[in-house]
Amino acid sequence: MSEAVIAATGLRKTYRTRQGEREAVRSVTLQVRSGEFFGLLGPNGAGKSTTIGMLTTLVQPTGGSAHIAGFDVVRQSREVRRRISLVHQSNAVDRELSVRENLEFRGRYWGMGSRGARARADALLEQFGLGDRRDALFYQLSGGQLRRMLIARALVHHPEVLFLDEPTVGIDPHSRAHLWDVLRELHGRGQTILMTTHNLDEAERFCRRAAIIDAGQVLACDTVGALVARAGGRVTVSATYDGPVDLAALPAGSSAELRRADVREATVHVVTEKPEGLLGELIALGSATGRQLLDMTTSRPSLENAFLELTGRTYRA
Amino acid sequence: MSASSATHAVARAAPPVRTGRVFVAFVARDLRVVFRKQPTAFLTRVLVEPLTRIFVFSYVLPSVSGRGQQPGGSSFSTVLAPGMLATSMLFAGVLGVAMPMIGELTYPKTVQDRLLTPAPVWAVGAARAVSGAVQALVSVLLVLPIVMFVHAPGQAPDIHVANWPLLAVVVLFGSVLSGVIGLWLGTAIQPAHVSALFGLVMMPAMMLGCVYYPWASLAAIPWLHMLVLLNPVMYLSEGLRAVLTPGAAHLPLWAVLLALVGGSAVVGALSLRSFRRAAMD
Ligand SMILES: Nc1ncnc2c1ncn2[C@@H]1O[C@H](COP(=O)(O)OP(=O)(O)OP(=O)(O)O)[C@@H](O)[C@H]1O
Ligand SMILES: [Mg+2]
Repeated sequence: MSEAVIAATGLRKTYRTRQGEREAVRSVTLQVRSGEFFGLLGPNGAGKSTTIGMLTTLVQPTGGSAHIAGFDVVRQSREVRRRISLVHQSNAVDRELSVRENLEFRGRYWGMGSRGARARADALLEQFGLGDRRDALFYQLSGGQLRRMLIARALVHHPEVLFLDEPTVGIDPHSRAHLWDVLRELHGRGQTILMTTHNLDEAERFCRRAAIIDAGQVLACDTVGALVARAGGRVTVSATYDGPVDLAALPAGSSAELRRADVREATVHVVTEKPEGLLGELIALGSATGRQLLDMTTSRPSLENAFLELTGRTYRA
Repeated sequence: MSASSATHAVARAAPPVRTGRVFVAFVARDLRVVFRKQPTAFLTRVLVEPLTRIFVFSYVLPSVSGRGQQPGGSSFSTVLAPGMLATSMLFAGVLGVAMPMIGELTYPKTVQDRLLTPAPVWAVGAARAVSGAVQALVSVLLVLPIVMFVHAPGQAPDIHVANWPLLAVVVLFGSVLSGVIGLWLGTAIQPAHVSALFGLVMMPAMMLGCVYYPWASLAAIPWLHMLVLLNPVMYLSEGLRAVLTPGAAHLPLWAVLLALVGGSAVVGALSLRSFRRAAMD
């Protein structure tokens, strides 16, 4: 295969805390080529941020190895850091500095002179629609502005690889759409991007390849198309009742698909190849529990189905 | 704004960056925050406490008690002046480093924006210690006029510098020591224990740092005489006595320099290790 910009082999991390050991990542192996927009998908606590932490040298791996642009993340961490940028999930901005100073010092930390760094900061802020907020402190920004600022800051030193940890969480649809335009444009220009997300629709739309991880392990790593194909011709039927239902109340003779369904309070997700006969069964499940079926939706085969196939769980942001 | 305006070149090989340059940028960042963005906070932190203490000890007490002479013959303000400068320096450096450090190491770890730069991890901690040392230096300059001019009539401290280079060395290493102690405390202490830092560490160290009496006079209490040999404040007080008020009793200079230089090196190494442990997951 062509040269991988990100290559991880058997990456492992066990956190040692006062409460004991916690195996956050068991074994992550993946490769991302130059120019790819790669998705890292998984539920809460799957180990996505920990994996990104190891790839960006902030977290010391317990085992395995990883290379960025050919440099070892442990032994050549400075070479790695020189080439990457990370937008944290946790909004780690320099709280004492203004928006502009955050970008300015980002440039200076990468060796720019202060005048050059200021010019670069101003240009990026203008491009990201933050020109009039440049003297604001972080708590004076809206969630969407803060995210934009963090992405602008991540671009100051022209990173070879951009890591984004859940970049669209907590921002409204408008800001989200805008962010996607920005990322699409970056990707179009050849920027390598590794992004974690809960939002499978977004992953499906933007990532060419993705890895699905759960409980610290890669369950599948493939093109999004191939991942979707794994779900076969199956679709997900989601039924919502006026209150919690219980599969234990299922009448005898119910289909095996329904017995395997994923129940979340008042909503039931069923993966099936033949959704036609399901309506009657779902109504029967409702009456058996004393609930009324309010709504039923059917989704086409998608990454969401693939995720359910692989993890046995539905995937809700 | 339109998305297509997010124009920039991507994926150029970033040029190598020298650690020294990043280090300077780290320190510049800290100094901008302390002196340009929050000067009032800094001034209150370093001025109010010494001003009140000097006012009480050098002006109020001598005026109400009518006593200003120490057993050694030097006025109390002469004994107090170096001690006050020493506590001010240590206060400024330790607080100026430890408090922000504790904040930046708690979730979300905002220090990560410097850990992600192409500098070694130790440089992030070391730069913070250096900015603490600068704050300690500035605090000496600010407190010096106070100890010189705030005193009861006729009780001016008897300060004269015989050896400027020696003064520079003592002040320099005193500043560095206070910066690295700040880094050590700021990285080793759980945020929940910050108030204990004051009650259990700072207060006793300041009160028992031979600020109000020369170390020699402690010979009257042998166990305390020995115990305070562990207190960095004592070495700085005595060091400043040696270079500013040579007339007053003080520790031999070699002992002071050994403690300040050796202490800076040892605590410096410990603090960088502790920083690494606290900063990396
Ligand atoms: N610093 C830490 N110390 C101890 N345990 C940790 C630490 N960071 C993460 N963990 C644990 O490791 C596991 C994986 O966490 P991680 O943050 O990598 O998951 P994630 O996939 O990013 O989740 P989310 O979608 O919620 O962001 C979790 O069980 C978490 O509690
Ligand atoms: Mg995460």
